[in-house]
Formats: sequence, structure tokens, C-alpha cells
Amino acid sequence: MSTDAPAQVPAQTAPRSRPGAALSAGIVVLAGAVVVAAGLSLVVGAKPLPWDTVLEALRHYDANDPDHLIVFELRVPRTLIGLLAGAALGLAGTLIQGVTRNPLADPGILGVNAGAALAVVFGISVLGISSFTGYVWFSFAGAAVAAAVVYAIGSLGREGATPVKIALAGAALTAALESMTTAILLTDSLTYEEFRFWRVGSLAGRDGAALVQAAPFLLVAVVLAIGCGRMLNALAIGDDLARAWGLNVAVARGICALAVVVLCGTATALAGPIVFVGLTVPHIARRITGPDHRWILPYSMLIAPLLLLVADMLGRVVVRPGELQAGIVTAVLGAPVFVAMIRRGKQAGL
Amino acid sequence: MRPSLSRGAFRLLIVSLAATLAAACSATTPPADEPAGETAAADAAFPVTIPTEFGDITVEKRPAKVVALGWSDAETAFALGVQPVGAADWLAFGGDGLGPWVQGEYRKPPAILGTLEVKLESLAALEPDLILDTRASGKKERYDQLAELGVPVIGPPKGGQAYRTSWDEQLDMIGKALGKSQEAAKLKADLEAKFAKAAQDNPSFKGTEVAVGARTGDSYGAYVSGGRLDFLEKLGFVVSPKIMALAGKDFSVPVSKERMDLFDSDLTIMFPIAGNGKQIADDPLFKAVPSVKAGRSLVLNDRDVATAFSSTSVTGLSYALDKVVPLLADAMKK
Repeated sequence: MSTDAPAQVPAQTAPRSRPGAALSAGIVVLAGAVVVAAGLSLVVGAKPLPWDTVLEALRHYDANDPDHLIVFELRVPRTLIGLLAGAALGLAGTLIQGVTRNPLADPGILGVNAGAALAVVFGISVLGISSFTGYVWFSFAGAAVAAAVVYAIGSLGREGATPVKIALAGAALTAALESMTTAILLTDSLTYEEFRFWRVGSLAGRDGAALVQAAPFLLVAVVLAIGCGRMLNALAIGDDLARAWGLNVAVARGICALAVVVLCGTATALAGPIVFVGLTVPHIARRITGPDHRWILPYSMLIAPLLLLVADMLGRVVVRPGELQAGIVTAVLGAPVFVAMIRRGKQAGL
Repeated sequence: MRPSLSRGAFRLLIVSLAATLAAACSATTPPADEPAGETAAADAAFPVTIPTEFGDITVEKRPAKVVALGWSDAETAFALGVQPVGAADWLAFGGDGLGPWVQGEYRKPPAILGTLEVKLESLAALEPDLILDTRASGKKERYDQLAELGVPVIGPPKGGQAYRTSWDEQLDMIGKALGKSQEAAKLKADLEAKFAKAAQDNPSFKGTEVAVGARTGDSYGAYVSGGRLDFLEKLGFVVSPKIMALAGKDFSVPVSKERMDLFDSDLTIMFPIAGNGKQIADDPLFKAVPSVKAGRSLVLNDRDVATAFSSTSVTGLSYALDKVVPLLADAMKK
């Protein structure tokens, strides 16, 4: 399908899904690749460490050995955060694109990231929160409130919450929230210092405790998101047909939105806003799987952490002895890939 | 955001209006009080021409109303016995904008005029006859804006962009512009002598390799040039060659937490930024650096000391010397 065709394409003209066996095999291959990337992520770094040192650190951890500290204090947490935040961003991107039937939608569009950011800044500036464990909750709350407000505004009027209205409400609210964030930052230089580092998405230096706090939320949200596949398939054929198909459209959107809020809130609190992963990964997944969301979701969930870990590893070695934050690498890598995909016009319909 | 053309024009209008108003008002007020004890002989110092990044600037006669906008310019003028009517509080001291180590007080606190962005309206209203801006960004736009008032503007020395003006260059230029060259020379000689004495009293400093770093937010950087290293080098220390090998054109180079081993040296010194000294001291990766483990490290957590280094003023450095030399000596004993 070409890029200028309407987003609502009758299901029968969309590319056919590949056979289930091939797709299942693909999942296994991807999962293997994620495991390999996670392994590499423990070995690759600003300081070159040999394999056996890393294995030694994992098996017989010695807090007095600086190399063991590097593996345990730095590489293990950032690898875990890459896996979790990546999976969350991949799923959230797929959900948002599915719900809004907008192939260019990302967590930015629903105002979710802007809401999370404003809440975090408010927490730092007014309430003096400075730990990442504190950020998590503000990030959740901000994302949830923003999503709720966007949905409420988007639902005004007779037709209810249409994708276009939601996208417009999201864009408007994002602008408003961002200017409020800027206003706080401009008047408070200390908060700016704190926020500056959180603002650029990074897997490094994040709090291990945040990981533990976020894990249960992520688990629930991942299960919820994976379960959304059938609903997204129904929503993709248009609200009227979906209703005729027996789907409660409002409830379906609400469930997806809930999953998005928890996924984005957690990923953002863990790693800061990381761009292009949520936007690009669903397109890559869709090109492999075809339009069936029951496959796109798990594929996105695996491709995104793979991408994020690779980006993080690149960031660790390109500017030695310093490091580049993963959020910058994903932007540098993601933007051209995304533009190329759009220009080829081959992305599958939603 | 850059101001739009119309906003710039509006500002110009306001500035000229304010200048006119101020001129009208001050015509009726008595002339500003001259510091006591000025003799005709001292005024032989004028006119004086000072080379700057923006050409040779001539100060025709002894200034009566000095505005000091550059980083630590006000403090330097104050140390020379001249009290600016307007100042910039670069290090956010609050109040009169002087560091806590400065002796004495303003007879009349100066108007605080802003740092990166100068409040031009307030500046014009002060009707200064000399503007000091010896340690600043060194950008032409800033100079042009200040020069519009039609009074001499002493910008940074040649090549002194980006706040690189050293404490003695600053002292020298301000001394000349204020007709206080002798006083400036004495302050400089005093501080040099203080450095020399500290180096002499602590022979263990000589040739000792130091690795000097800072932590902002969650990342570390190593200093490869600038006032902090000059300070230590004057005391006899040598910057770790491992770190100097990384030097680029900036003051410091970023160092990944995985490469904290780069900070291993005879002595490791850390400057916390925005009061995060505890985070440094608690960082297991910092604690694992061999020199830190052995106790040969110093985290300069005292806010006054840290800002004294940042001030890079003759008075600030003198204070830093008093405070830091004993700490350095202590760390070296381990």
C-alpha cells in the first residue's frame, strides 16, 4: 500500500499474514538474538573486559575487584533496563499505532511522554524528589492523567473518540504540557540540572531499585498488551465494522490506553524518554509479520529491546573514554531508518 | 529563543529612553563620591589604553560609576577599592553578589544586572562611565550591545573567549581601567607569594601526579585545563599524563563510569557540581579507584571552597588556598 492511501484499509486488501509456523520460528530466532544481545551487553563497554572476567564476575562476585564492579554495578542494571524499557516501548508503540490507526503515532502523540515529563519535573522542583524510585510514580501519574485528558477531550462531540480527534487533542495537550515544563525549568536552575540528565534517554546510571519497583507493573502491562492483539485487529477494520463484529470499541480502546500508560510511564521513568524505538519498531515488525496484531505485538516486544541494547552498546564504544546516551543513539540511528521506510512506502497498512 | 526583530527594536527604544531619563535626573544630583585619598598624581594614569578582544579601548579619565558585568569583575574591582554601581552575580551568591570570603561591605549595594543576559534598561539607568566585561563569552553581539551605551567597554583580552580570562589577566586589565595598576600589581604579587609559600611549606606536592575530575548529574569528567589545574600546578602538582593524553579543546573530557581507573593517580581530586559530593563519596566505582581506596583522594565538598575555585578571582583563589592546602597536605600523608 502507498503512504497516501487512507489508513483504514479493508482487511482483505492488506498483505496476507505469513504462515503461523514460520512466524513462530521467527519468534524463537528473535528471542535467541535478544539473549545474545543481552550477553554482549555484559561484555561490550567503554572499558574492554575479556569474556572470562565477565563470567567470573557473574559466578564469583568480588566487590573488591573494580572489573567485577563494572559488570555488576553498571552493565547488569543497564542490560536489564534495556530489556524492560525496550519491550515496553515496542509494545506501547504498536498499541498506539493500532488504536489511533495512525502509522506515525508514537507515545509523544497521545501526550503521554509530555505528561510524564511534567510530573517528574514537578516532583523534582516542588517536592524535592531526587531519586529514580521517586520518578517512577510521578511518571505513571503524569502519563495516566495526560492520557485520560486526551481521551476525554478526544471523546467530546457526537462521534465519540475518533482517532483523528485523539491525535489532535494529544498534539495540543503535548504543546501545553511542554511549555509548562519549560516554565518550571527556566525558573529553577537546580531542577534543570537534575532533569537534564533524565531528559536524555539513557540506560546508564539508573537506579536498580527503580527496576525492582517497575517490574511488576511491566509484567501486568505486557500481559495486557499481548492480549490486545485481537482487539487491535478488530479496531483496524474501522469502528463500525468492529462494532458489527461484536467489539465494544470504547472498552477496547480504554484497555489499550491503560496498557500504553503503564508501559510508557515505566519505560520513561526507567530510561528517560527514548525516541524512535516506539515509532520504528512496529513498522519493522509489521513488515515481517503482516497486519495481524497478534504477531506484531510479540515481534515488537522482542525487536525493540534488541534495538535498544545494540544502540546502548554502540553508545558505549563510539566516544571512548566517555559514553553516548542510548537515547541519542536511537535518535541518530532511528531517524534515517524511519525516513527510508516512509520513502519506500512499503510499510504495511494498519 | 532569539528575540524577534521588533522586540530588539523595542528594547533599543527603551534603552535610549532610559538613558535620556537617567541623564536628565542625574544632572540635578551631586557628582558621585570619589573614593577618598585620590591624588592628582594617580590621575596621571589616564587616559589609559587597554588592548581587548574587540580592539584597543581607551579610558579617558578616572571612572566614577563603574558597572562590572564579567565573571568576578565586580569582586576584583572591589578588591582594588572601587565599588561598582552595577554588578553581575555569576555564582548566584545573592545579595550584593560578592563571595562569602570577601572582606568589607558595599557602602551602597550594586544593582544586579544579570549574567548571560544583561538587563540593558537597568544598566542604562545607572549611567555608568565604564563597563567591565573582562571574563565573558567574548561574543561580538554581547560587546556590541554593551558598546551601544557609548562608554568604554573592557571586554576579554585577545583570545579570552568563553570565560577563559585568567585571574591575573583580569586583575591587570581592571587595575589599568580603574587607574589602580599599583594596587593590582600588589594583589597579584601577594597571591603569587602565597602560592610560593604554600608550595615551599609542602615539598611533598612537588612532582606529585594528580587526577582532577568533576561529577555532574550522573556522569564524570576529567579536567585537562583551566583554573583548577593551574591552581594545583602552581603548588607543584603535575596533572596525570594518563588524563592529559585524552585532552581535546575543552576544559574537561567525559569519562565513562567504566573508566574510573583513569582517575587513579598519586592523588585523586573530585569537584562536586551542585553539591553532589555525597554521591561521589558513596559511588562504589569511585571508591574502587586504587588511589581513592588507599585514602589518597579529596572530594571538595565545601560549597564555599568549590565556588572560590569557580570564581577564579584573586580573592577567591586566595581563600581557596587557605582552605585547600591543609586538605591536600592531609590527603598526601596517607
